Amino acid sequence: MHDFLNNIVSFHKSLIVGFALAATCSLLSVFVVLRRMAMISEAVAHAGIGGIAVALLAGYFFPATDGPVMQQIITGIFCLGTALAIGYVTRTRRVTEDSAIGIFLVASMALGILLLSVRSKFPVLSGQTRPASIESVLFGDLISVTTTDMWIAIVATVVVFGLVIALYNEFLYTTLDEQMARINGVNTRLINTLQLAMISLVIVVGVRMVGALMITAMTILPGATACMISRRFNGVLVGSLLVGILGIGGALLLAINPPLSSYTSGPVLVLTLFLIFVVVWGIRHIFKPKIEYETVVGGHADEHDHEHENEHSQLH
Amino acid sequence: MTFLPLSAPHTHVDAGSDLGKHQGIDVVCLHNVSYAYEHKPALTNITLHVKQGSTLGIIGPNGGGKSTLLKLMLGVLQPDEGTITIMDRKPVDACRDGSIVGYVPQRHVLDWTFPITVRQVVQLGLIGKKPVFNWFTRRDHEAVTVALRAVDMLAQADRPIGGLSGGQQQRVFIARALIARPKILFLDEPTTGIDQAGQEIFLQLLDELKKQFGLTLVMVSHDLRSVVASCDRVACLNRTLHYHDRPQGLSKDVLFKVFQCDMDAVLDTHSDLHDATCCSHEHSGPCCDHDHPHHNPLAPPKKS
Repeated sequence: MHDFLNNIVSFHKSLIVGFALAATCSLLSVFVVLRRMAMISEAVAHAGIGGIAVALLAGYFFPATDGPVMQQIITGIFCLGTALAIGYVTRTRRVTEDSAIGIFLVASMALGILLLSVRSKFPVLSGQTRPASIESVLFGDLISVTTTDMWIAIVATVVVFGLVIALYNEFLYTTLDEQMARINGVNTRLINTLQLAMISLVIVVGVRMVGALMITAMTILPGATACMISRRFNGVLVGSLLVGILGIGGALLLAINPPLSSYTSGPVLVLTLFLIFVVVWGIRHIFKPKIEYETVVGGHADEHDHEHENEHSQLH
Repeated sequence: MTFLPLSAPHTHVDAGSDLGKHQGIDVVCLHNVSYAYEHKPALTNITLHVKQGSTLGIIGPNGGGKSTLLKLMLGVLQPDEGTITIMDRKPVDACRDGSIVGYVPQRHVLDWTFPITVRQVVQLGLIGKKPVFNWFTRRDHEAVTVALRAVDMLAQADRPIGGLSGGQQQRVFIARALIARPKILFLDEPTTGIDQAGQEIFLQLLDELKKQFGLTLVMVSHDLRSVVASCDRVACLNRTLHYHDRPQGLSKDVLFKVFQCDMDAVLDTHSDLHDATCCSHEHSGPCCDHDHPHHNPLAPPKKS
């Protein structure tokens, strides 16, 4: 028990980053799932590999752009640029969205791996950021987050929650019915761009911790699980936050303590969320919810529907 | 009453009719509007005026430009030529806050498995009236109650939308459009997917709402029956306007011109219309006395 508490104190930065990331990813995952943007989220995450490689190389040639904050900014711009490029290429409908996602996903990943190899050929000067290995970019490193990472995660969380709370109805309307929202004066182009920017932000912050391959899961699984729990939007939001925070919190405690502490942490986080998803799916599958319209009667249309059924049965 | 005609496509003006002329009480005015998708003409030279308090039904075959015309009137598309004004405003401005134009889209545009309650969907109709960074207030909550009561859906207010029947879904859309108190309601295929008895109830509801809220209705439909039963003006559209006048003036000739090869299919789905139009087309003599109400090929069904 003493060791367990000691670990929590030693890894408090990891825990803070973990919970911040869990809350932010869970909130965004509701919109990602309901807007069917899961694959775009995947493409942005893979663009993170390209972004990190570009940032590292830029840091070597232009020392002013070196350092964790500048690296995050460059990676974020690269991710957002990729997401916007997918949207732009598919706007003319000559390239379908799934093709564009596939193309940009592999291209940015290939660019990332190539540039990381190029960077590894150059020497590391004193004071420069050490080039990341491909493994660490793919799978992240939860345990070695820095104070700067912690502050970046806290700022990202405040920004994302602030935007979603301030523009809650605009986000909800655009997610529910984009065309109708546009007709009613919502700037849907701005809302879409903000959504992509927020996804890029959490992915950039999360890539260091759980890796490019795993961060996508955090922006999909909590929302997908919560959609099975509630049929109300507020319920889905709360459910997603609970699943994300409890899931990632639990997984973090597992990952910083033996016996799992000696393994890569990213997969533990993702598998914990997947386990929750499977359990909820199993429960919903076994205990199918009653269809409400069969039990609730009282609406005008329902009454008429019943009248029509009676008429039909009389005719037969 | 004179009949149709139309060797060259244009707006039909009945003798003594004031249609097609711009007047002070016209709330929707389209003047020589044309639109093309990537150089392929979708609409040509449409001139159309909708009078305040009237119910206009726009009918035509699939691909005839009905949805394009609606999108132009909603400001979603911009015309290549011509002008559109709605109560002296541009369509985009007229539709923005919902207090001039309310729009009832087709039911299939919404994912009805979306986790949201009826009340929340209706409340979103007020978004155009709210400044950015403002949440809904208790007053907005009461406006939702009024709108849902008007369409007789108050009992379902706090239910998720997933369990609603087709007719109820349509009422939710109407409540969302009504909540901002519009003067004009645009409806896109409102009776599609609702059985015949349900359609009559729905059209009665529309009639009641029109009186209660002083609405002007513009209804796009390929369903002849619902249009003829509920509209006091009909516009037949197949890339251009073939007819624009009272529904009683419609004959099989016009419908054939508008629907072309689709005509048989259209009439087959409405056997009573089919019988009537066959009568008007194939026989002569007293049977084809179009001015006689019993022989009007598309006379609206009697309301029970």
